[in-house]
Amino acid sequence: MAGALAIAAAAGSYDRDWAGLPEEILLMFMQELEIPDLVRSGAVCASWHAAYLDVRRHRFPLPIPRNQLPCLLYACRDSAADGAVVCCPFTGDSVRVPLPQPPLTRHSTIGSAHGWLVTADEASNLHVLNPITGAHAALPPITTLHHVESCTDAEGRLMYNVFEGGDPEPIPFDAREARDCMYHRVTLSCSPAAGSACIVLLVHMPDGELSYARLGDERWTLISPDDHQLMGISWGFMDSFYNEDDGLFYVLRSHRSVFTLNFNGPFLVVKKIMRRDRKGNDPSSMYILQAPWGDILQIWRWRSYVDSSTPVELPGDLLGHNEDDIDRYIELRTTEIEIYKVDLENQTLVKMTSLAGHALFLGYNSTMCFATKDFPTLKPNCVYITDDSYEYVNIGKHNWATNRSLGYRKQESADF
Amino acid sequence: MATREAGKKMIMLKSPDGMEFEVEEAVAMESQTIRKMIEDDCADTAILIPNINSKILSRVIEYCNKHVPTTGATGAAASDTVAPAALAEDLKIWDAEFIKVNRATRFDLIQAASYLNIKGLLDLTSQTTIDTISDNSLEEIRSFLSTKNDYLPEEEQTIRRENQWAFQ
Repeated sequence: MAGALAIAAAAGSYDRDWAGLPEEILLMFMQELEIPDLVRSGAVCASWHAAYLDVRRHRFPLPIPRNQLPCLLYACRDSAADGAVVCCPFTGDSVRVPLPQPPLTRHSTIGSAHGWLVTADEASNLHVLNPITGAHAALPPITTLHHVESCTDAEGRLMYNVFEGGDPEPIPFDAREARDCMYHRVTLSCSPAAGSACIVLLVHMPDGELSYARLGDERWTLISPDDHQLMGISWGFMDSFYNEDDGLFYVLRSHRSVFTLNFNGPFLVVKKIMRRDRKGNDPSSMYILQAPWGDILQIWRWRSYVDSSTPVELPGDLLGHNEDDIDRYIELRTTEIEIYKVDLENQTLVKMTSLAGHALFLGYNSTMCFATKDFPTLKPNCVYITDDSYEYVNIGKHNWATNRSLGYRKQESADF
Repeated sequence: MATREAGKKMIMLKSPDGMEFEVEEAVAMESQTIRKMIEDDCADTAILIPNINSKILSRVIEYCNKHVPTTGATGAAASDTVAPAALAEDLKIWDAEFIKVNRATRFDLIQAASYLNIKGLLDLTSQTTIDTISDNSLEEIRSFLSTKNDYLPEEEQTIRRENQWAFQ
């Protein structure tokens, strides 16, 4: 058959215009490429560059966002001049990226999602930035948060007064230091590449209040029981996630109750979907997420300070200054993690003894859960943890940086 | 032309250089573009395939013949008695041989697969190009694809400087 159809045509050795390939075909190629290859292909010629810019706008950071293992972004003192490193600790893949403007080194990181970082600059104002493309957008200034107003100290330096509920006397914060404790948790509804469709939800000072802004908004909007009576009180929120399937934010409160926030209509609608269920000691941190198998999970994490036998080494520039203020023996350890399935129908929390062959990631970013059969480098039924106590990370940062920041904990009981 | 079992519906495909190819309807319908034409009743007599010369069209038909699910009449491997895994392995080997073509032919096959909307063929032809881009330096990619560098020297310098990390 093939022989009968073969046509004795010219050998076909004449040049084809690869630069002129239709853009949809180019885009298809490029979406398959690893990031460095993609960047190089964008330098081949002008039409490929145009396609590359298109891919970059629509698809970043990684080929299969929902199945990509978490990556670390880090810049050490030596590498800061020529960039940072994005590294996947499980595959060993790493990419060196230029540090985006404004300089990331002077920002502190508040959270991350969809390959973007949420950072706070030196005036404690928030930004979203993509460390790989350098794309950047400012979020509304800190002073538009309901509890915050700017002022100056006796020497004319910028300060922020933070008002706690009921207390007429505000707590003053140095403009730069406010970022260390102002932002507890940040959740994005989608990649900031979507512009004003991206809603940023903050859990923040003084007591776990909720505020939101759409990308491009000028102000943060406080979610208050004055407008949403079901909330009862404005504070006590711990964590949230965005569910792409139903378009709702799910928010966890310290009493273990769960609320949904619906931004899809003309007005925000707040619903309480899980009643409070206070049992045991209050955890140090709480997380909420939707597991790949559909259940909503609450994760409770306890930490305690322990004395380390060996003191941490302080960076040279601190020696002789305020080194006496730093307890070099103190170390914050995770002591216990409990995982509960939220049973909405029966309004109860069901303690889980296994993650059913999944691995969980807890930290400053959005909480993630992966099936270990898809990622053989992950250990099943383990929780991978980074320190996310803002107190310890920001105030005890030298202990944190030198001791350890990554670990994992087996989450499986003997009878399972 | 090979003899056909009676009862199988045949479709005539015409290339712009005047060649005609008679193929089973099931084979032609490997192309989503042709499938749509047939389903919309636009295929009474012959379908003209514009922009795809007879040489490339014959290769595309060869591919579709091999890949049409089990009813294909092109060799023992397509029989029902062969285990699916063995069949898949056989197809992979066949594909690897099929794609051993020069760059110009590959370029034409990509365009044809895209126009005719044959996903398997598009994946096969693109993968080789993706591998080329992945494994080679910028200069090698350009020379391999015979693509002209249409940047001004300073433009290229800027791209390289801003993305130095990707060129190491």
